[in-house]
Amino acid sequence: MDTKAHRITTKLAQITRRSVDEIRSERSLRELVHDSFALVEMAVELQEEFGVHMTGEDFATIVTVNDLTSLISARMPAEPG
Amino acid sequence: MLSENERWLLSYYRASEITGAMFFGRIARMQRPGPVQADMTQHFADEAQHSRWFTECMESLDVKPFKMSFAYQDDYLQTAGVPTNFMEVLSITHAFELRILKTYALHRSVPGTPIPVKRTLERIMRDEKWHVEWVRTALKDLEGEYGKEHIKDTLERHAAADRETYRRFLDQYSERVDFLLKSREMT
Repeated sequence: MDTKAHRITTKLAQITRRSVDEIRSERSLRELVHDSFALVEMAVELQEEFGVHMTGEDFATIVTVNDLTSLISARMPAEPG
Repeated sequence: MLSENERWLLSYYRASEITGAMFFGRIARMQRPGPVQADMTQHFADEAQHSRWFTECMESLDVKPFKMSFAYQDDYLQTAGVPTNFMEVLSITHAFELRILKTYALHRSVPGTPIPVKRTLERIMRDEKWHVEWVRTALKDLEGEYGKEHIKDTLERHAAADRETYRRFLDQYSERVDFLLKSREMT
């Protein structure tokens, strides 16, 4: 797993109060986030952490953890290298 | 003396204040320290206080609140869609707070409303006016990040969702809120 994906997965684990091992890439987001309010919290917290805006249209296409991780990774500012 | 319908409605308001408090508390927790987090913290503290004031108001009229398993926000999110960034959280809050102000103002004006209910609604409305103000200021400050037109469009979308939610609420609970609507027709 690359650094960005690892950071996002670690943050998701923290937000959903699960172990990192439970945040498998193929896992459905709905399994991890059970209600609308929790989804809002997750979206806002990811925004605060990674500086990435997401929209309702984005969430309409996100099914799995991998979908979410890929979207955020693609929009994250490039890491200094 | 509080009618059953008014007791139901105050209980509904109380449940919605609690739901609002819990939601903002969770959002405030993840905000970076700064003026926005401070205002959001004040906001959710106010909402929790409002629920307590409704309880005290009803108890002063010798009734207890009904336990409600639903609140206005539940239907609202279904209609408006889940906010997916902080700007949308503020926008949806703006629409919701304006709805609260209109509803409480109408309720306060109903002839025969018990004095403790009027006083409670007035007291809460003072806070809600500040809630609208701080949210508007915070949205203005986000124009650089999200774009002025995008924020304006989002506000309009959420206002439209609120109108739809409110219409459904009035239809679904028409018997409960009849006393409010009749007083509006009279003015």
